[in-house]
Amino acid sequence: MIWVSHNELITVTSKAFDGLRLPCGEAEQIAHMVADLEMVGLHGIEHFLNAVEYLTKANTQACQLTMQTESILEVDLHGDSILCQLPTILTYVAEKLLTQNHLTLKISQCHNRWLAFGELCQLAKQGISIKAYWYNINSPTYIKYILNSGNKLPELYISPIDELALVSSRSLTIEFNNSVFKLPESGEYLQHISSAVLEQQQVSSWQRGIPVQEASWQQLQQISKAILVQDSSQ
Amino acid sequence: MVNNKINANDHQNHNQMRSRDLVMNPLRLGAMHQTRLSFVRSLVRRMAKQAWQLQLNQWQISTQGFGFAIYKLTTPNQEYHLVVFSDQIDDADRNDRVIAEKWDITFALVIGEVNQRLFEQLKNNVPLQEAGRNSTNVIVLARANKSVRVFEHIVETLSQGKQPDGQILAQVGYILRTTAVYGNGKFGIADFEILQTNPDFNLSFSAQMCAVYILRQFSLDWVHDLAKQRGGDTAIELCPQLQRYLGVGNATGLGMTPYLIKHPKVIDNWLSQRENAISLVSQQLISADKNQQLQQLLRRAQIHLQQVITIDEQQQKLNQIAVKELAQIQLLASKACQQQQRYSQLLQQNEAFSFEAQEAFIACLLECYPDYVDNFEQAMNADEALFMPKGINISTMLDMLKRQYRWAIEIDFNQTNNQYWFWYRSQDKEEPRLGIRGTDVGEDKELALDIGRQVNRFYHELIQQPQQQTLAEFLLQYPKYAAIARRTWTLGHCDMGDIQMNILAKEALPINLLRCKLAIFGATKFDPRSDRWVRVTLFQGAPLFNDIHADEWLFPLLPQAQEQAI
Repeated sequence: MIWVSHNELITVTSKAFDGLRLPCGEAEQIAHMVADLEMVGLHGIEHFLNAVEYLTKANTQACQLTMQTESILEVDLHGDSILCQLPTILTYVAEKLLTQNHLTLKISQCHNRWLAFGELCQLAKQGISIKAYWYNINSPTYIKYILNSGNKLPELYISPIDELALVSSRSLTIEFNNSVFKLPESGEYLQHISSAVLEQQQVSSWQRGIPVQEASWQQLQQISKAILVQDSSQ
Repeated sequence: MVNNKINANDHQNHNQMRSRDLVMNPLRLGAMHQTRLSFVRSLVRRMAKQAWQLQLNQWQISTQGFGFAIYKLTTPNQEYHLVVFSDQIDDADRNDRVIAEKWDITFALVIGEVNQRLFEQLKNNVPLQEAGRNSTNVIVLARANKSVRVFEHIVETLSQGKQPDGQILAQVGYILRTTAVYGNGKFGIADFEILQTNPDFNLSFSAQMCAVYILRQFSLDWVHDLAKQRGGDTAIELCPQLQRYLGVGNATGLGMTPYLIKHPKVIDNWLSQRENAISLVSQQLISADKNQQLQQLLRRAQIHLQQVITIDEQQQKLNQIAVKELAQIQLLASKACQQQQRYSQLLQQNEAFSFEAQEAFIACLLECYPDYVDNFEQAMNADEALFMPKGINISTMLDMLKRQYRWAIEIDFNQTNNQYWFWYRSQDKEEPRLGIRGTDVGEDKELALDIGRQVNRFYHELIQQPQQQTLAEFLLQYPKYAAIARRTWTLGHCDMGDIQMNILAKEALPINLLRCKLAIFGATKFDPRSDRWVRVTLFQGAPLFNDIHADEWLFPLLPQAQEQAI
């Protein structure tokens, strides 16, 4: 285990993303998406390392949003990571919410859904309530988090699922509302990670540093070196 | 007289800030001096006001000058320790660039006690600098090299019971020069975030400046100890005036440039607060007593500039011109005082002079008004968040760009010389460097520091789109412009905004950006060593710890010259 600072994580992730030389996505913003998740102990680095294989020039193109109904927006990312596209999509959503009270965003065929966390926390701080949910294929689970307006961190709920058919879609649904969401009853999920627990981890990360697996840190640093150039002595 | 006269419309009326086009001109930024808002000044004010104490806790330095020393700093809130390691290195290894791997001195500022376990950790890691790992007990990690000539001269003369030659000291101005002073989470140390609630070091860069200030005390203790070792009872200490005259050197190169580009809200805020202070002071009538103080400071600035020794011919010329112009400014100030004018009128008249003279004048002017200026130090920390606008259309975005980014829109990037350079990070310790486009390798890995070019491309894409389309819709279609849209909208609504410089241009001088940041820190004695790096001094002329007080050290002078200036 190695202990790294928030600034180190931002710097290295930012360089790693820059090194991918993608046509869209903002390195600093993406680094914050990774760090926001890592700081609360939800493995941002692992998710970013997984994302790298999906972050290719062919994938990261402009996306088409369609209004399914007045309050349902759909977008197909065709197997791309949400990392590059989500900030721009959320800008569009935030604008829509200026004139309507609720909206549902359905993102299909996407990867690295955990990494939406930081951007959604930012939106909640601006006064929008958010409910995000998806089925996870690796350990068949249903994951949901609720960020009510003004919350800094979400209430996170995880339940196992049996119907693998649900998992195959790799979709992410995010509901936005100008009023608050009701929190689920205790019988509706197996595990609840409260915002207080997440905050405790976040405070510890600031004060003591972020504990990171040494192999993951090395891998991240290795990716960040792709941006380096052999000296031409200028 | 150098003609930098600008359109009178650029200078707004007396109760408003000066315009961004005037202030964010890189040539003006490259002429800035320390002011009382600079970080070294706000730190020393806080130290004096709260009576911070410094105590030498351990001195384990050998007769050759190697070993370690520990200083304890006590504030009303907390104890800190500066742990300094002195190592023997070959002259050939003494390199100021970031690619160096050995240094004469390495040091760390630590929160709280240094127990044996922590000391061992520091001993094993601090001398390694970037190659080491540190814990969040450490808030500053840094290194320094000695000026061999000054160091040897001082130790030798003191050991013989004589004071050193002031002219030799004047040529350099320090015993030790730092080559990197790391804060904010570098190499495992504490993030600045956790210092924001620390009442001692909650101001940007104050912890780094404090570490450098204590290092200055170490450099004096070091030469005194070695002179004593060498000369025994014959040895003397530097006279207090010379101790005070010596600061800590700093060598800064291209590596600092990306910071200024990548932290635009920080730079905007530093300059905006400074402009707020200037604006407030410029509304005052020039009173006789203030004019007298101003005249004295302007004379001091002249002598300081005469005493600056630099190998750079251009800087020599600029200093000479400024010395002459400061004499003219003194006459204008006296006349303006007699005519009961406000400083705003004087500032406008000064625009006929070189930037170097104008900026020296501003430093002197702000010095006279602590009651108006010093409060702005509390506002120097910046929220770095950039915001994407909601609900605006392309036409609105274009209006803002035309208003605030004309400097970038009007550049013809089809001209080779307007994108002559590209910036990259070298494999050598990731040092930022410049390559020539089309000639050097690495263009495919160019760093996105090209703000002017990005704005230009964004603008030209926008003008081809339906003007009523929303920006959010446009960005879904063209996500590659999201970053520059956020930046320009945010900075376009700040007081000063982006630095108005095409950093790719053949004639672009990164050294102007370095000087801007160093002046905000509080550096003096700017000595460009090329167009890529500069040597300065920090805390030169500052009171010593045992006599700490807030003022009297703008434009440091050699002791005998100081007497003449009073």
